[in-house]
Amino acid sequence: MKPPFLIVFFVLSLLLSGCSVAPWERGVLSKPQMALDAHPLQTEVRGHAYGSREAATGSSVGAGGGCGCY
Amino acid sequence: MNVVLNLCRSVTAIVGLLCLMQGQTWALDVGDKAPACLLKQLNNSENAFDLKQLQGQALYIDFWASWCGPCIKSFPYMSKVEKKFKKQSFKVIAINLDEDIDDAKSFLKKMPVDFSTVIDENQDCAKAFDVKAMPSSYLVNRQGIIQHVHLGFRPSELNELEEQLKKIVQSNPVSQIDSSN
Repeated sequence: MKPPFLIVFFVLSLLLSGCSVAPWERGVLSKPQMALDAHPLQTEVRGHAYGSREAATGSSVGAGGGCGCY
Repeated sequence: MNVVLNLCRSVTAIVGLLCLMQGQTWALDVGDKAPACLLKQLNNSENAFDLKQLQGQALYIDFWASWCGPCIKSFPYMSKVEKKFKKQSFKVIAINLDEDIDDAKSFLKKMPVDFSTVIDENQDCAKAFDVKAMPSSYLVNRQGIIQHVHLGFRPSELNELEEQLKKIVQSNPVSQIDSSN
């Protein structure tokens, strides 16, 4: 009897799950250009300014008018 | 229905086996013997030696890389302890794990250190210790037994590290080991 396709797919996907990266192999990953956010500090400051400015409308989490003033 | 159940059991067995296979190497811990592995001097790659040859000395084995911030922060501390305990047959061995050795060399040109910097060419040593974090430090006593494992480098943990260092430096004099061998 043939095993169901889904189970075969599941087992194969486990076997092809890629390789683990050892702690000492993260040199390239640790480079600044590999970061999701190239300027984390700037993003943080902008987020803070935006949150302060638009607090009455719920900042970035809620819809609303906001004064848009700086 | 039975066929599906049997298949599920088979899949579970295969997954279990895979999990076991992946976890077959365990990180070395306190009480384990420091493994033998070949290291080369960073400045003179022809001068190779085995970690086992250093048995009889108290060792601070540190795995580092030039891209690792906390590793670099630990350098002044390692220089300090090397200087402090040098006369008591104590040695700091900083094992570099940079993928490109030139990165380590250019880094050490900018920031020279007093302790021994070596390379682990095929990462055999890192694999033998099963290094879990960067930096990882292993304090090895004169009998070659790991006395303390320290992951990362935080100034708040230095007092504990220093206590452990004193233990490996003060205990097990070399003469006792020589007579036991």
